[in-house]
Amino acid sequence: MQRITLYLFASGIAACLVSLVYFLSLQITALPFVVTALFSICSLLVFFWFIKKQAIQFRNDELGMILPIMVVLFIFLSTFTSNSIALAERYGEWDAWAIWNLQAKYLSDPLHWKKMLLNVKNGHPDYPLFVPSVIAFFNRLLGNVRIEVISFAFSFWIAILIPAVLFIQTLRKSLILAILLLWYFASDTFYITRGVSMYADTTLAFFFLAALISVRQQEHKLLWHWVAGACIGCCLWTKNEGMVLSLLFLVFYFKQFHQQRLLRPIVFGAALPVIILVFFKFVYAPANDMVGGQNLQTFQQLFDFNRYKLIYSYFTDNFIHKFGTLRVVVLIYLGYHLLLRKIPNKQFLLVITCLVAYFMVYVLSVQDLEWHLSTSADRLLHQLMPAMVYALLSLYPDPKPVIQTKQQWTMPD
Amino acid sequence: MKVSYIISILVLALINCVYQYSIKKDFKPSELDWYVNSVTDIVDVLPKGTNIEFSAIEVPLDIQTRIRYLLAPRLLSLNDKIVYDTVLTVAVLSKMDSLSEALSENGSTILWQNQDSRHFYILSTKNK
Repeated sequence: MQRITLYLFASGIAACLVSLVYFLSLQITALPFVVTALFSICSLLVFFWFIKKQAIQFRNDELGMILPIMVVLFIFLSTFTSNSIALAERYGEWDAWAIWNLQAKYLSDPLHWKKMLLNVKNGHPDYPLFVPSVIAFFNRLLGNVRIEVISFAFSFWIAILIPAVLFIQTLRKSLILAILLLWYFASDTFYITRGVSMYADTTLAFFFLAALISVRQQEHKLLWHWVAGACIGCCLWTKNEGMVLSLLFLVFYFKQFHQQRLLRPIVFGAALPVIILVFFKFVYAPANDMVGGQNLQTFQQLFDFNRYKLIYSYFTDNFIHKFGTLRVVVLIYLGYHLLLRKIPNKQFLLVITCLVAYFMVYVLSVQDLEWHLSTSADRLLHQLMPAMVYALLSLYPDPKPVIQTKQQWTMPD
Repeated sequence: MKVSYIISILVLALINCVYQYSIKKDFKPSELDWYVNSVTDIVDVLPKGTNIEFSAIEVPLDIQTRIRYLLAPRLLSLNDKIVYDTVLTVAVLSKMDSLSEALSENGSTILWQNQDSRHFYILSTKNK
């Protein structure tokens, strides 16, 4: 199960690698695309060779009965696909044409791509460029086909990776639970709509989930912490919210990393995206409207009770109407812990802390609060949803492994 | 081997979904579907770096944003004030009567126009 999980994470990290290489290639104006393409392909080959070499460690890590798993996956994917087609907008939704696909179009033009930085009105040129860069790369590789098709393909891939990874992780606990999980994702119209909306929120959700799963692996910790580091880097290179998630992730796990001497693989894993993000932010990106607009008045907003009330009502509304099932499970989970007077697990607390951080971002928002909430609150919750599902699944105990080694049980989480 | 089965089924689902998306969300132009074909035709005749300018009558934000998307990366940006040789004007008129008036004031060539129940959207060019 670790092997397939590693490959699924690797497919996302590989996309980030392509995105970084492509963005770097744009710095050399006269560089022919064929050089970029060859370099990207070579990078991918080396990356997957490395992953394959690492995956040999998991050769005894079998999934069990493959036939029922394939049948379940087939049914899930058929349902998910038909729902995706029904729910997808032809050109994606607002942010797709206003931000992500727009930037991908600019990035597809090696001569004029910097013009996108002038789109300060509703264009958000300060946003990190993972999604636009990877779409732009494939757009040029395929000869400037319709950018929406490439964007849709990327969105769909990430959208199916999340349930697939959670399914694989749950299989070792219970096949029934894993099937229920897939059914939940296949029938969740809000998740699917967001997943194929060609936004970057699902990509961020995937990498945050991947980082959480990676640091909980009990074997081959060094490798998994490299992966976790890379996923944190990908979060940062995907969206500005990735900074909040990454920072809180590091705060929560710093002690564990430090005690186990695993800080170095985390830092090295995240290094490349972080360096390029810093380069982009300092050299190209205009000031973020949320950060640049802070002043004394926004500080006073901290004491405006009506803002808290309004944000709370939006969050509650979204929980009820868009995350109804999850909300019920969270309440049961909290009730269970309250009854037993237990502290919820670390993943759960991390997701709740991220939620509080998002709440406070709204309190300090310089935008019109109602507009800001109505356009983004549900997406922020969507970013945290897979991680929350994973945190809830952690309540269900892992079965004892068939081959039990000392190393497997040395680090309880 | 089992890992390759799972990856294969995921990749097949991806190919299938993208194929269906391309077929079912066909990109043929329809009356109110962003006027893709017409705008694309205009893009082909515009020089690179063409600026975009909106008429005095306010253009709704969603129309501005969609036009910017359709014409990217040919246009600089909606906010750029640099005036180039060719200016693409987008006018949104709420009344039929104001159509001819606006055109005579503008002195521009209509490249394309379209109508929905409420508005006329006109893309035209003129030389400065």
